[in-house]
Order: sequence, then structure tokens, then C-alpha cells
Amino acid sequence: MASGAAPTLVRLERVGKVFPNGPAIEDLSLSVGEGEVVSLVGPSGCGKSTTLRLIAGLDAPDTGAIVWSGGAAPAMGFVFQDPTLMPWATVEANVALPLRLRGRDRAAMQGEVRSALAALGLADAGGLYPRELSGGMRMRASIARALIERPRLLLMDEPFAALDEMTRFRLNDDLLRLRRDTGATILFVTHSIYEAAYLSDRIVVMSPRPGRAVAEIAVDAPPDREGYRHAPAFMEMCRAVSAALRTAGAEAAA
Amino acid sequence: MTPPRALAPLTALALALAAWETLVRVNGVPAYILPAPSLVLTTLWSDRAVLAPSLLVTLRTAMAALFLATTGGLALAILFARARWLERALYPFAVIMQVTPVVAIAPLLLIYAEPQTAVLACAFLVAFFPILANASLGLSSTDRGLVDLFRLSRATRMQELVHLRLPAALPQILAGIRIGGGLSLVGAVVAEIAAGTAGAGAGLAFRIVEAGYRLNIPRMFAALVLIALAGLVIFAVLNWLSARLLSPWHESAAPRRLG
Ligand SMILES: Nc1ncnc2c1ncn2[C@@H]1O[C@H](COP(=O)(O)OP(=O)(O)O)[C@@H](O)[C@H]1O
Ligand SMILES: [Mg+2]
Repeated sequence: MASGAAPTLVRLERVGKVFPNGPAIEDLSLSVGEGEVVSLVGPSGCGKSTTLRLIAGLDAPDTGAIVWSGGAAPAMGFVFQDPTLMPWATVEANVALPLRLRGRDRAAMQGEVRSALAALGLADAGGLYPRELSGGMRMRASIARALIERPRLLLMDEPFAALDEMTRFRLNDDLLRLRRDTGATILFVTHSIYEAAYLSDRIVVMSPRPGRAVAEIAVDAPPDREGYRHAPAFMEMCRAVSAALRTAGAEAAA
Repeated sequence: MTPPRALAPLTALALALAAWETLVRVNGVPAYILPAPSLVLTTLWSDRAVLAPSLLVTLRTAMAALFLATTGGLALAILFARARWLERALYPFAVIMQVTPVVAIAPLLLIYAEPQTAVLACAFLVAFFPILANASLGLSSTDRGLVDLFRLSRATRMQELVHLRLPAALPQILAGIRIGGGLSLVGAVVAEIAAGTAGAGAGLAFRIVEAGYRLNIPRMFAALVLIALAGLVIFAVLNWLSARLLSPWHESAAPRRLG
């Protein structure tokens, strides 16, 4: 799955996006294969969120193209940096939202909602309101909602940045397990080198604004990542990503 | 154990009334200058045949005005949220209506409309703006992330309104209705005084004016007490309703955590 053999799901071809205060990304090319976990790392403000929004169709690129393998964009799940839950709705209703907006009736989606909650360890939290949850549980609910429609592509924008480190580690492992169980394709934005090295099959390093993909690093690690966090190979990977980021920054400054 | 929260204001009220009663009795102040609280209380009972129907008239006017202001204000706020140009075109007039004192509008309305209609219109005018302004603010400050989420699910504009913008704006909408509820009573009272309607449609404010002409000071006080009570009841009912609707999820209404 880490190899380049997987068929491409989506390809960005020299994509650019200009905001009133100047270009945010420029000539950005990258691809994501079916079943692959790709991380996007880069300094803050380099256009990582913008890239995800373009892929999700929430914004349109000014130049370049986004090409989907099937021709049209598939169903996508999006996990924002904030959990973005509706405070007036229970966890269950929040997770069920995408199905409800498609006009599915309550009874028919009960089972799906319950299994999505269970998959993220929220089996007992369905009746609670967001304000009653911890930060980690809110993020779990947000992920459950993004997965409820079994999207072909899961876009995640620094989902764990606001969480404490222990919670973050646990959610990293949960995400790996989910990925193993569902074979989901994930494009994951993070500014944590460790997180990128731990989760990804491939890491794309972006330059400072205007963002371009300046390096790609393939991660060669056992799929279940058992003990990988403490393996010398992991530290080696972190060093490599860190070096690529430094080079990207130096190039832009020169 | 802390005493119930109502204890302090109730004690203050009792002390003030006792002082008032004593002052009137000790100095032998005549009732046409300042009636004792006990006399006001007995007047409330003895004049009930006049006061109770008037209380109903005023309450009914205020409630009808609040209902119309709520439906109208909410509907216009929804229109504004859909079409910004409409908001730019109409909002200044809503502001002008609001800043013009209703006392000044009432005599004019009375020329064109039946007294009861004019009174209702005045009460509506003062209650309408805070409801519109609050609902407008609420509907336009929906969380950007949630809007994106709805767009991602290809929600229709109707779904976005019903499942996102309206519930998100509920705290502000209810705040507007709470303000409007108090103001609708003010509007009704002011317009009644300007209208001076006698007969079956006479509200509490008219009773005050009428009793003033007849130097029936105890009845003036009794009617005033009823107006204040009506205001309190409106306030309490709307606060209760608002807390009920927001209680499971909103910070303002959530039960305090122990600890
Ligand atoms: N809607 C917008 N309007 C104007 N500028 C924006 C907008 N969205 C993002 N930007 C700017 O574009 C740049 C890239 O933003 P973003 O994609 O959020 O960066 P990142 O997620 O990598 O931190 C930033 O400098 C940001 O200020
Ligand atoms: Mg970002």
C-alpha cells in the first residue's frame, strides 16, 4: 500500500490559488493513491488548509486542475481542526447529520450511527451534548461523522493539534486501526513531524507561502506500526522530514 | 444552607411597604395624596370588576403584539439572511421606526386607525425591532465551519436554514423575544394613554388616566401595581421558556457544574 502501485485516486496538477493578499499556493502538484495515507506537512500559513478545501470542493482553484480517477469527485469526509459539532444536537444527531441531509429516515440509519459511534469508542456517549465531552471525545465524534458515509477519501486538517499528547497518541493509533479495518484513503494535514512519520505511507513537504510540494518521502514501516514509535527507523524518518522542511524554508528565503 | 435567592428582594419589598404604611398612618396622610399599601390592596379587590377586564385587554394587546412582532421579525430576518440587498434597502427604515419614540407616533396612528388597532400597532412597532435585530445578528453569525460542513454534504438552502442557521441563532432569537416581550407592554401602555379609549376596550393605562381625572388615587396605584405585575409575569414566562429551550446545550442555561 505504500508502494506507487496503488491506482491514483486524485491528482493535483500545478494548482494555484490567489487570495486578495496574494497567492496562497502556486504550482502545487501531488497525488493520492487508493488506500494510501498521505500527510501534508509545512510551515503554518503555507496553504495546507487551502489545499484540502480545494480538494473538497469548498473553494475553486484559480489555476491548474484537480483530476479524479472516476472523472467526478467521490464522496469525501472532512475533519476540521475544530471538532465543528452542532452544540444544540446530541453526539448521535451530530454523527448522523450527513445521512440526515441526504434525506435518510431516522430508523434506517440507527444501525450505521451506532456502529460509527462504537468504532470510535463513543458507544455510551450518543446521548450527550458536545459541551459535556472532553476535547478528545469531541474530535472522535467529528471523525465518526466524517466516516458515516464511508467516504472514498478522508480529508483531515490538523485534527489533533489542539489535544494533549496522550490523547493525541491514542487517537493516532485509533486512526491507524480504522484505516486497517476500512481501507480508507486519507489525506492528513499536520504540522507535527512525529505524527506525519507515524501515520503516513507517504509525506509531502510543502514550501512556505506560496505553498508548493517540494519533497516527497515514502515511509517504509510495518502496516500495524507495532512498536514503530520507538524504532530507530522512526527517528530516522523524523530526521529526514525535518531536514526536508529546513531545505524548503531555506530555498524560499534565498 | 444558603437562603433562597428570592429572600433578599422580598425582604426589601416588605420593609419598604411597612415603612410606607407606617408613614401614611402616623402622619395621617389623606388617601387622595398618598394611599397606604393596605388601601391599594383593598382597592385591587373592591375595584376588580373594573380592573380585571382592563388587565385582560392590556395583556391581550401586549401578547398579540409580541406574537406579530416575533413572526414578522423572524420572517424579515430570514429574508435579510437570504438577500443582503434587501437588508441594505430596508434596515435603515427599521432603525428610523425604532428611534422615533412611540409616544410621538401614537397620535398619528390614531387618526388613521381604530383605537384598538392603533394601540396594537404601537405595541408591535416597539417590540418588532429588537426581535428583528437580534434574529438578524444570530442568523448571520453561524459558525463558518458548520456552514462548510453543510455545503460538503450538499445541503439545500432550506436544510441549511432549518437544521443550521435557525438552531444556531436560537439564543439570539430568544434574547430578542425576551426584550420584545417587555417592550410590547410598554408600547401598549403608552398607546392606551394616547388613545384614551373608554368602554369595553379600555386597558389598564386608560384606567390610570381616568382615575387621575377623578382623583381616585388608590385606583391609580392599583392599576399601576397590575401593570407592574403583568410586566413581571411576561418577563418570567419568557425567561422560563428561553431556559427550557436552551437548557440542554447552551452555556447561558446549562446547570452549573458542581465543584
Ligand atoms: N479566505 C481567505 N482569504 C484570504 N486569505 C486567506 C484565506 N484563507 C487562507 N488565506 C491565507 O492563505 C494562506 C494559507 O492559508 P492556509 O491554507 O490556512 O495555511 P495553513 O493551513 O498551511 O496554515 C495564509 O497566509 C492565509 O492567511
Ligand atoms: Mg491550516
